[in-house]
Amino acid sequence: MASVWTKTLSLLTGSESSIDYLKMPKRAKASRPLKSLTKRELLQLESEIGRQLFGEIPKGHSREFFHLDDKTWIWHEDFIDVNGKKQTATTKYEITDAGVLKVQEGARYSYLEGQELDNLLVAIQLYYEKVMRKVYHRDPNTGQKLI
Amino acid sequence: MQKTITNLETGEFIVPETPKNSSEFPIDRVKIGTEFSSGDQLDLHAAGGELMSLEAVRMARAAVESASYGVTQEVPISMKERIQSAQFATAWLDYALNEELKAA
Repeated sequence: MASVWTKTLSLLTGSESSIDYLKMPKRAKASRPLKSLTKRELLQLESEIGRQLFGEIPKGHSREFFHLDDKTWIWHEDFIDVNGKKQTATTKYEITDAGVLKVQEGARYSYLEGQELDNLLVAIQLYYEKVMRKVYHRDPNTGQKLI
Repeated sequence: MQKTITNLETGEFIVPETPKNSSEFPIDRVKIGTEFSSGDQLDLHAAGGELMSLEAVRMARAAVESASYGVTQEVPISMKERIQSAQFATAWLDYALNEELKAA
């Protein structure tokens, strides 16, 4: 089974070239069905909504926030620091019955608590509501396709 | 059941407490006791580019779960419900995505 991290990297950076992530996904126009989009492109559409849930993105920063699979969320942010070096941070959140497990680089693990947990849960609900309507055209209450 | 939560854009947003609970929907696909998949390697950001072995991942995870046991047992019911709601929402999003891909 492919590594979650490998899948995440592939989704974030693309597999064709190292600058593929800089390309905008092909947007679904009103008359164009979503069915022509790949999983990566769908997740990029989701992330366009997800990245806006946490307020303004600082100039020069790039942010992604999306669901990776049926229990995993990814936060990714990168920017160029004052030394001109690219800095990146990727965090994986696993939603489990015991709580939300936060996994960061360097094998740092912790269960979310307090305000951070509250913020993530609110963001997930907002994301769900918006993405179901705007990307998948489904009623968030029933899961059924919107007419 | 619905609730109102703060939205950064509109100031107020109505969201379902959980997606509709029905055996017809992927809510039933949410599995208890999520674990890392076999073969996972936290290799992307390991210090010095070193790959982290699966065994090390398991050990680290076990340590965190052990240390967090007391905390997670004390999570208020309301928070447990919100976490469950997030589980459902995540499963639903994945279902919707896969349905789009299947339709392609």
